[in-house]
Amino acid sequence: MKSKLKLVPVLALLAVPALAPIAVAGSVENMERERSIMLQAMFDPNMSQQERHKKVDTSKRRLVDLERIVLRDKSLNGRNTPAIKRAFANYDLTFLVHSATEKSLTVTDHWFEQLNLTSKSLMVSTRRRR
Amino acid sequence: MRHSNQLKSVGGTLRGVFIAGLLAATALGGFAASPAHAAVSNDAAWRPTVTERLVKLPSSSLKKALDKDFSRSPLAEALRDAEAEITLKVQTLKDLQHAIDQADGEIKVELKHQFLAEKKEYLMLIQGQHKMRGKHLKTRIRVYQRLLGKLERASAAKTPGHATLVQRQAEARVRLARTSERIDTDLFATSVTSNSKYAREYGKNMAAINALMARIEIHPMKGKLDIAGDAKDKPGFVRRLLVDAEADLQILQQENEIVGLMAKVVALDALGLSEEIAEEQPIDDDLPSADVAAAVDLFIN
Repeated sequence: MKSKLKLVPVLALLAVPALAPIAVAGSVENMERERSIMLQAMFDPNMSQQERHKKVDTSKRRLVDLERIVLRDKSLNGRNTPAIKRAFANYDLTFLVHSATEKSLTVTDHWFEQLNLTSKSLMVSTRRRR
Repeated sequence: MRHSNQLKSVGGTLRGVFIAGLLAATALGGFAASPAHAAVSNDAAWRPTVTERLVKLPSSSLKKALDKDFSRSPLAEALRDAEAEITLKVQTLKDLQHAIDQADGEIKVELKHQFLAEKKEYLMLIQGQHKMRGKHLKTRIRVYQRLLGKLERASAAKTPGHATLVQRQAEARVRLARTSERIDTDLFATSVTSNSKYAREYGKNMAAINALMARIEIHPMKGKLDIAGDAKDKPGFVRRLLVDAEADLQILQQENEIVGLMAKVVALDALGLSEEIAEEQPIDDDLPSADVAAAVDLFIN
């Protein structure tokens, strides 16, 4: 009985790693996929305004969750892969929906701002022959 | 006459005690030991190795593992033996002191002599124990230094790119925590749809996690497990252990000085007792001198 009692803390400690958060494989990839779908919808010239709005809105809702999944994914901690490094290199471009909402901008405006594509810069641009 | 002879022999031995005491007092300052004690100290050793297992152990178990390893070593065994011997010697000294108070005359002098000899023995035992304690503390300091070196090398092995990534991830999480509530309000307040299934489940689980964390914080056993105290990271904890061991070594050196002074007191007591015995012996001041005048007649006739 005494030896069983001694084992209890050991067994409890052994159970702790088993209860550790399970790594979500490819959370960054899932987010990147949804982001590229949203960007495609944002700039697709063959899409009507209404259709674009609907698609972007759906993607935005999905992206809120996907961005949070990536940010809360503990398995990504210190994982020095090119995809993860790129994802965390620029918060404003990777976590697009969060960053845009934080700055009270539409996702499109925020995207253009991040790429330094302002109305002014577009107006001063000239069309030239290569 | 017998008494006088005995006193003379005690006086001679006391001079021996005085010289030995002086030698001990001089030697103790330099942490030297008698050959017998030196042999004990040299044989008993503790040779811990800084293994990968030790490096990977959590802070709370690290000190316990080292303490356990030490308690099984020959050095710890020798220290325990020395402690038991010192306790017995202290008892002998107390008994002798009590006996001196009650005795008088020749027996009192004899007991005083024995008391001084036992004091000398006690100091030699303390000296041997101090040498072993010093050995233990120096080994412990060396282990902590090696451990700290390994831990620091392990953290330095991370590339600057890795360190930047970890920093960016931490910053991103802080930014999310700061803005998530506002974002939820902005995105979902005006919308007909409520939060996603993920957000609802996540919120529910977070509430459960927070309740459990609060329970863990107030659990009475938590304080006993958290021996790291203010040093939350492992190198910090090892640095604290290192400082503690260094402080113990400093205290030991101070105790060593006290033992040196005690040895000087024993030597002076021995000198005092020797003088006391010498004073008790009758000294014949009238030196024999030949009366020349009385012998004049022999030369006249």
